Amino acid sequence: MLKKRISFFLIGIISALILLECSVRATSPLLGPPLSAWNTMEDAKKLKFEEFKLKYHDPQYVFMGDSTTLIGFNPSVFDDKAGLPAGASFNAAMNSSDVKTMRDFARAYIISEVKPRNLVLLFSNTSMIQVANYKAQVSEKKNILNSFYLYKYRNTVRDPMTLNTLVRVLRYRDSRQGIVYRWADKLDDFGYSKYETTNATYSEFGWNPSRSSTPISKKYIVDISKLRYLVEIRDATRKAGVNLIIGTVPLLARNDEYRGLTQSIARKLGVGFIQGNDAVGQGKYFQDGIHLNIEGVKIFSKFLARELPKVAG
Amino acid sequence: MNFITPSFLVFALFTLIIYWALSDRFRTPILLVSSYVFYAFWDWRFTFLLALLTVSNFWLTSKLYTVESKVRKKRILIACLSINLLVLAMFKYLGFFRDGLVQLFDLFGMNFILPTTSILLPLGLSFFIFQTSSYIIDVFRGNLKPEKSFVSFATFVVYFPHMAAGPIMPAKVLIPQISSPKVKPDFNKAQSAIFLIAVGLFRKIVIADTLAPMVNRILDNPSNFDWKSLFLASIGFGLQIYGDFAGYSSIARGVSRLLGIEMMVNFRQPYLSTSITDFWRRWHISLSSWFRDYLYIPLGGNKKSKRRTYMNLLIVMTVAGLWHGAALGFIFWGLLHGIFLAADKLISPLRVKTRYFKQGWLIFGWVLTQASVLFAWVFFRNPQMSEAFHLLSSIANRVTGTFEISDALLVASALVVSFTLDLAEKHFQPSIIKSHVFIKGLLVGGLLIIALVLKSSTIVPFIYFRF
Repeated sequence: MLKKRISFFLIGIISALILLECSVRATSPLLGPPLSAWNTMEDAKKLKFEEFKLKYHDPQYVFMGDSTTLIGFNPSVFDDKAGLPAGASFNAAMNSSDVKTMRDFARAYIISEVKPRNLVLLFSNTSMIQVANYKAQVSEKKNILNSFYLYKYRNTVRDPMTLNTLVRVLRYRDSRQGIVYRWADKLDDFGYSKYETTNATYSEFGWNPSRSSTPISKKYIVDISKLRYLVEIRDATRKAGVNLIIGTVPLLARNDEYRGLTQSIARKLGVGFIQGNDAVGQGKYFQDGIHLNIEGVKIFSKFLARELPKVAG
Repeated sequence: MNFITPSFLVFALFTLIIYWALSDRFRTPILLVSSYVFYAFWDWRFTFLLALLTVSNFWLTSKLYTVESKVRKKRILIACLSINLLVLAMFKYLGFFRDGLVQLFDLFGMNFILPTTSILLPLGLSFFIFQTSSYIIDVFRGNLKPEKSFVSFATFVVYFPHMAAGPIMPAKVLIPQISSPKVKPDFNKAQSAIFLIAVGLFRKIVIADTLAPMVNRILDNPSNFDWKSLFLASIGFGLQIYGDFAGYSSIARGVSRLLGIEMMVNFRQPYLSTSITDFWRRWHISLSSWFRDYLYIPLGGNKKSKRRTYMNLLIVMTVAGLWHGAALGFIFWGLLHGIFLAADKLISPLRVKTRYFKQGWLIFGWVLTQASVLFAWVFFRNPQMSEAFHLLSSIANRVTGTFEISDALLVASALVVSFTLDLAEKHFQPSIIKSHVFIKGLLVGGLLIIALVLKSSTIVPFIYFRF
């Protein structure tokens, strides 16, 4: 009797699992592709990349970084000024990205699936490169739980916009209203942010790198134990035959430690280096003290088009 | 050790297996050891403090029972309560009183310098002190004979399912269950215990932890947000704290039931209450019962004049506010509830006269109660008064700023889920208890799987663990 009751109880639990799994499978066409993290920008970039690969040929340059790169680098200007065909470069930068998220996205997707000729990582500060706490990357493909839609769609289900997505899908009868698609809509064909670049200028003067930029004489000590993420990216790019370049971005204030340490790290790891910080620094080229405005974006993209081929593969 | 971590699951399974595998006489010592292990996971240094307090309370209470003279009895009671309250004051209120003293001297233009202190509050100390104090007072009143076995007494005060955040259990209910545990496990009890754990996890993960990032993002930086966001986040906090605390209490009861020990219900759908008095009969029941039995009634309760009753309510609720934390916001939160309770008592005769409009009165009462509770939560969430008033004025002045539709959807979804759960608990609980075991499995499975799917990688600590 007791065994029978325990069996029924367990069958009830398994039935709940089956019911929920079926519900998620049934609604999945309305939700779009499952979110790989609770970070819809990463999924949107992936979606854009897929469209990009279909439309253009394989990219020669893929840029990664945080919002300073997402907003600050325009691939169309770069391609034009570098004399490359349209679609030669792609902006894969994401808001609030750090070296760990770069490692995850680069290894799981960009290096393995896209295989560009050059991978350019632009860092906006030293703590974005050097991280003391290391966390190994979990491979989604090897995870047996991935065969469950309940697991695959866990981030989609957690996202508060999912409900809004469902309402929109039903209202417009278009499954492309999914969360990922609407985020991807904010990006142009080359992964560049469509809406966040403005003409606004920042009130502070800043600095003029063309006048005050001097070669860095001081040697900065590189702590290799804090570079495990970067080492993993370097090893993965070497294995895949991708040329890795790391670099700095324009900042409003001159910061010698940031400039010198990033250069020292590139030297220590034996990878290419670009001092993007030399491109521009005046307040009139920034929209908010951190992100470049339209004019600043043009100057920075032209600068990269001029300087990058010197270190590119 | 948080209840929603894998380490707690391992700890609880290990304890359960040993607990049920060994004979009766070993069960209480096992509970005692596991409770200390549970506490040591948080901070092993404070286990010595707990042990010291346990020994002193046990010894003094035994003395209290044996002495004949009423005067000596009273002295021992005062000594015992003083030790407990001093420890609580030292860890919880020292900084608060220090700051208050400095500000007071500042008012009179005197520059009074006191050393600053930063003392870590031991987990669950407030609950521990209230638990032991009620035991001492019960023995003093002659309502309870002191426990002869030190092991049983020590287990009663540190029993791990309720150690961190209650429920504060009456000694006469808990000690007999601890000292003579059930002989064998019972499947009916076990499945109802698992159901309680599933409901608790669902409330904590699906409601409280899903709301926590949004509530913290907005209420920690209110200046950046639109009044609509601030209003939604305030509602969100009300739902978050309920999901968090009711979730914890449900898990605690479930785990305890698996050990064969019953604990009292701590929440009974408080957001369905139609008056503030009703709210306090449904919210944190163990604490409100404690204040009723050990403070409100000794002060005279409602047996004296009306004015005295109102005064008693104000005193009790202000102390309840202070119990939560050493900050003006908590005290004001308590005072506000005292005022609401006094006002409710004042208008209660009116409610009887308007019984012909019962439905309308109920709806009005519900709206008024929930609005009052929500208003008071603002002070609880922002213990600094200036921040609370800034938030309220931003909402009142309809300030503009960031507003995201996803936040509104999140709060709306949490409202629907929370009220559905409450209504289901209220109306369908008897049917669920009587239902076929397969249905129970289906419900438990559904709640657990949804909680697991929605569980965030970052663990949000239980709010009441800090009290």
